[in-house]
Amino acid sequence: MEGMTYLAVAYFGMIIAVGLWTYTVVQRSRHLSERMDALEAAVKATSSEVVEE
Amino acid sequence: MARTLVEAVGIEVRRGMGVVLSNHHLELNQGDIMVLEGANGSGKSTLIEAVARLLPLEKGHISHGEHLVVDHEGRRKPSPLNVSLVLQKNGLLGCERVQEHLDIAMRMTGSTIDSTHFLEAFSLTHRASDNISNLSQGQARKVAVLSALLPAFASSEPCIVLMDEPDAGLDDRSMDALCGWITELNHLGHGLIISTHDERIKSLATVRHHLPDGTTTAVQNENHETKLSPQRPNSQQTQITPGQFGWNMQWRTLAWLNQNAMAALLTLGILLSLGELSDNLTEMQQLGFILAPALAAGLCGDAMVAMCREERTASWWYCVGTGTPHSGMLPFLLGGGITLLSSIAHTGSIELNTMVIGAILTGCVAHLLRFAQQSTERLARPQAVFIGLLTPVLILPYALLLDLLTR
Amino acid sequence: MKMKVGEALLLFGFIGIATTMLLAFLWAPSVSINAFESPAAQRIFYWHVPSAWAAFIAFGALFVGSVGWMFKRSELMWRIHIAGSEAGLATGLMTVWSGCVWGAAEWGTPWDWSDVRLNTFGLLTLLAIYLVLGRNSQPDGVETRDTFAAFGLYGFILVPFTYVATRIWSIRHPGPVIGTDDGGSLNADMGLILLFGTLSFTLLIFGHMLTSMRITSFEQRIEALQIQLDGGK
Repeated sequence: MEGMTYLAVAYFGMIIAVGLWTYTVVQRSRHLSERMDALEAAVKATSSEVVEE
Repeated sequence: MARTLVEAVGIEVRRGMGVVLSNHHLELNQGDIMVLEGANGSGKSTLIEAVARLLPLEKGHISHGEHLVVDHEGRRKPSPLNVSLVLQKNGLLGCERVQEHLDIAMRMTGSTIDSTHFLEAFSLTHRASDNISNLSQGQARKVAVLSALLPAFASSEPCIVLMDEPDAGLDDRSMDALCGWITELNHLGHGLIISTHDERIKSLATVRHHLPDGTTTAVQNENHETKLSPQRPNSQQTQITPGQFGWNMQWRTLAWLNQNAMAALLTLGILLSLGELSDNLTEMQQLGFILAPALAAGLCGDAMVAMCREERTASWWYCVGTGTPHSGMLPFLLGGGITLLSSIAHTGSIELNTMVIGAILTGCVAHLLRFAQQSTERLARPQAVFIGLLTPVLILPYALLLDLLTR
Repeated sequence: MKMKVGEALLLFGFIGIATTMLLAFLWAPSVSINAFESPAAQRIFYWHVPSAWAAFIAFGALFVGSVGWMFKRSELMWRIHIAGSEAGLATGLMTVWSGCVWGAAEWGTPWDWSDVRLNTFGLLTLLAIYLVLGRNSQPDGVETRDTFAAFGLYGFILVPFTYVATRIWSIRHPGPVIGTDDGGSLNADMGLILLFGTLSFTLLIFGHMLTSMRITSFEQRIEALQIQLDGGK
């Protein structure tokens, strides 16, 4: 049973690590997407100001 | 008809994320003083470095004489002509001496001349035996400029002289001397490419090359009447090789002691502190203990790589010499010495075979690491790269070597 | 929020991996005490082998991306290089870590410096760490890309070497159990769990690479927009 406990701890540790890694990657992707949308809006706003002038 | 010294055909060069030169053409003939004109960031330095074979090409090719030296397929060959260079960085090591550096530069052409007059004109006579590190910025700049001019004066063959802002930091008297020398080199039949904002040097141009468009304008100038200046008397001298230079600098600075020898001695000390444990080892393990300091010394790499990042010395050597400076035979000697010490300390006896193996081990590992370090030199911050992460790859061959030696 | 393809693959892959773990504990048949020193630790096989497979996919992508950048100067290929190096780092560490856990239980030592396959796989993982950390320390540019793509090219030579190593050398690491001429030595139930784990890791690694490529594309676009807002070209 000791072997199985040892194995279970290792497995859970790896699952948690993979989960964390997956989560950070997805979060970064979404954060960058929001940043990009904001920048594109700013560029669009700046271009329309120039046109108006 | 004047011989073509440099021809760049349709070259494209990138820096960072941008294209600096695109479909660019250039032709430098014997007797040309080509001045590069353009705003900051138009590609003057990039063009000089490309001609000096320091930058890869995305498109096109560059020839020196009739020989291709760089192309877009990654080919890079030594120039068949003598090339001298001064970049915006001086290309000098602080531990070099003034006269020494000038002699090295001249010896790249196979001959030297008396440089006394040049040192006098630049007010450097009293500094001829000084270390570069003892000079002011302006004085060091003068040495760098002389290291681009003197090889051409010493050379019996037409030389390509590349100068990136040679006027930076020079006083009026020095500028007068520099302009005189540029004119003299023109009359000697050498070809010069100069990037400058100084009007005095610009007025000497026989050709003005505009950047970024790459158009060329010939300039009529009374100084350009065909005149031949007499060749200054020279004497034959062999080149200093990168290995010789590295050896000299290593012994002068003892950088190998700080970087390689200390690591080896520490390793030896730690192993010796295990005391009784080392008496109960198998033959393979004992050999591993004896050779471990030699491996540690090699794993620290070549101190010359870091030294040559100073003032772009490695780039200067690559352009004008036969390669970048390295420690040559020093790692082999160090490996043999440290293995001798380790052998005596562990076994009380001297084993010549083991010493030779230790010498080869340190030498090969140090030079292998040098190649890996040099492969990152194009990066903006090469010192920030974790080359050390790749060194564990050498543990397996070390283990296999020990296994082989003790069979 | 609408889920992208990469995110969906990540999610399904993760669920698959977690399911594989449960199957490994609750359903996988035990191995003989005569064949293994630590029969319980053998169950890590259902993680270790699929993660090694995923690592080979990642290193393959790293190689393709490196070649594509060096010879074609393709932006897409550079993004594949980045995705391959990051995925290779993660899966390489998973493989090495799970292998060390298994090795400690089975061999009494987590690592063997004389084992060719272990060491070449470890080197590939180190290479991935080097590429990821090194690239993050440098500004993006042709110099950075050329340097690290060259390392990626040379490092990949180790991949077939690692695979072939167990066929050539008689070493501590077990030989192949699938893909052999005699049909392999794997029990059917074990094979099923292994297949399920492999598919899950494949989904996970492709999901990660797609998401990573998307991230790189965003970063490049953001840089271009910031330059535009700065008033540059």
